[in-house]
Amino acid sequence: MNSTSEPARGVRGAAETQARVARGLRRRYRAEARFRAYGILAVLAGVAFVVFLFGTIFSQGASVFRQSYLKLEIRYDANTLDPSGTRRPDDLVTADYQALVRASLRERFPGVEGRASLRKLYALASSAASVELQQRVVADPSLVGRKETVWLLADDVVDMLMKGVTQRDSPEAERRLNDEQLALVDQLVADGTLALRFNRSFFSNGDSRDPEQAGIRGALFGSFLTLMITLALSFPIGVAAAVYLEEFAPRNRMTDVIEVNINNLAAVPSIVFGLLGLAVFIAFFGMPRSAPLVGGLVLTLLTLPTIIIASRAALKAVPPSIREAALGMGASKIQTVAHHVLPLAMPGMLTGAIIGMARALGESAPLLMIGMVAFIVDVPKGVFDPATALPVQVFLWSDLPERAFVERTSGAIIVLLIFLLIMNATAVVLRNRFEKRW
Amino acid sequence: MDTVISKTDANAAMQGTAMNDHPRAAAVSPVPVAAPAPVASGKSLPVPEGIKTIGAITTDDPLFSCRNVNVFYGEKQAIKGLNIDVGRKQVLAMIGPSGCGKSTFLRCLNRMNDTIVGARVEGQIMLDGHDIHERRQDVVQLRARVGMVFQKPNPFPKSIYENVAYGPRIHGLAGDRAELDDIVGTSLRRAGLWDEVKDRLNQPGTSLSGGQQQRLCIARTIAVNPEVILMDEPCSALDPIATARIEDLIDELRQSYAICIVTHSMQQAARVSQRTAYFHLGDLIEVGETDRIFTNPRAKLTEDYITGRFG
Repeated sequence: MNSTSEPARGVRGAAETQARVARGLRRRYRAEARFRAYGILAVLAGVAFVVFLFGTIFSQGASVFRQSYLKLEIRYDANTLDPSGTRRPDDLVTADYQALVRASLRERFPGVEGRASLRKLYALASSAASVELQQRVVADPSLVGRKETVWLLADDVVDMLMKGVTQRDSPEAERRLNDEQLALVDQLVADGTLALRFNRSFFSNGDSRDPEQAGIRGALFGSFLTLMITLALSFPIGVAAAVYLEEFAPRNRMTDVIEVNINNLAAVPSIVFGLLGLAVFIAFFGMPRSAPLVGGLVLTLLTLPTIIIASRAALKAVPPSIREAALGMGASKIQTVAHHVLPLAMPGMLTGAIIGMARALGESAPLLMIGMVAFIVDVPKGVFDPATALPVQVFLWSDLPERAFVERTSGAIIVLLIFLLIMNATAVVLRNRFEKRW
Repeated sequence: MDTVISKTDANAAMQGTAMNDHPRAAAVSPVPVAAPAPVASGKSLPVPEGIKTIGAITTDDPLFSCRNVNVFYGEKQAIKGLNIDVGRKQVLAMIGPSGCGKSTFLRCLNRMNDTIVGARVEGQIMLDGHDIHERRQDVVQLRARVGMVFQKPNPFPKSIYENVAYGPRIHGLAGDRAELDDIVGTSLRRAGLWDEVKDRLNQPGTSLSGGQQQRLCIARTIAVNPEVILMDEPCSALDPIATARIEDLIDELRQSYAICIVTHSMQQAARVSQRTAYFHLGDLIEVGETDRIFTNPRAKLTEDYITGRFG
């Protein structure tokens, strides 16, 4: 080819071309190795943060699942509980159960005398102990006059000592348990009547100012009710909006504006939705404050854009050939969507909905604005009852001074994380199991 | 019921015009327009003056009669003033280089272009004497009469049975389960797929091979008993053996249906069709008997294309 004339500029022999390629090769491989290294570093950094976060929370919060209980022999003294002898339920509710706990403690330690010392002794048991006894008697009035051995909650100060948080060799003035109480605790531990047991009150109680009584049941139910409202509203509305926008709406300036605004809504700070909920649902429509109903409505506003965007992506992923096939068969627009497009897009939509729900579950700022941050002891029974939610409970507990609330804060975070993990795992499973290939 | 009445009304009206105004038809067409067959309900529309298409655009007893069809995608004109008739019980092949408007025209015939944003169709497309763009023409009903098979086999991600049963089901063609089973069986047999799938009707349609999938799509189309089957390059994704089966099938289906097929294979057009239309850049250049087009093309562009000089 180049035998007759001078080769054109840029045309080289095969050997020179190969030499140039070889020279470039090493640089290419170096660039590739460098890029890999950056990628691995980035992933490692991410993993390190997650490990640090989870490690901190679990190391602080794992102890919440065990709690110090006192094993006490309780004599349900008829004279104390029911002096009139009528066994009227009203009387049994208002009786002095504190006295039973105190009597039991005095019997256990006959050597303790004097008002000050007795008060120190009584302080070992939680005030929740008498509530527990009251519930037992109300449930079974025949207990009156009998004896029973019960595990009752110990005070959080004792609990902190049992868990090794309180140092027993620190100066007495800095401890909330004095030496006298330490001796009593040691005796109780020695004969096995003070021990760490599974913390059922953490799961069966609502909030409390006493750390040992405080539980997450109220927050859990509040979160559950709120999420149910959110799911019931945002999924149908979100899917309907997505189907309309994707399958039926004409493409014009109006739909462009709507699309931009939906994407904008997804980025609006959640506190703004809280303010909106306060102004609209509570101030204008007069709905109750602190209610899961209002929380659900606000979180619906928050999750709608997420669900709409995910659902539209799922609809876009359905190949147009399926729509053409159905339309070509003479299926109407709505039949095409209902029979073919929606079933194929549903896994993607559900995934989007679950991810939206997971975001709603972790949201606290908008709930602060609508009063779900109140101190609420009762477990909510319906969507109109005042309630709080898990992340808000975390926020509330993290603010309290008692040392025992630190582990409760972390414990609530653990429960929250477990639910988030379950939801996100469900999303992944749904996507893998039901995603159709075509 | 009222479609029947309106059909006869329109036919009566059509017959008057069809007989009188044929100034160019005789001049252009080497075959004079024949006397109407007794069963004919649709008539060929008058051919407008000054059309550039060479060959006989009209046919005896046309099912479709298209006049001055223009299609725009936004600003771009995809089809420019097209005139053609589509006959009953024959195969019309449409050939031409990519982007010449063959598929666009095919999609006009069952108004699939309605689904494309920005597409606009002008002109008359008469099916059995009724303009398919008429207000009272329901597009769902039209597509039940004019079935379509696509380039890429696109069975629904459902079972083989459900694929074929879908059309009869949505149109309410089967009274009970037994009748539906019959329709499914007959359609699969006519599509030549029955022996291969009769033992696995409950398996997904997508589990079949490409050629089987395309025959499943054809079975799905004929299950609603259409009058026309539009095929948009039905064999372009298939190997030669599957292609041969589909071509045999087209030949059999011609006994009952009008078939319009878009193809890039001139051998295929020559093998399966009775009439051939050559498109170029949105213009219909030449129409005629397939044998005549391939042996004696009159237009220079047609000759260049079929001899492989371009395209």
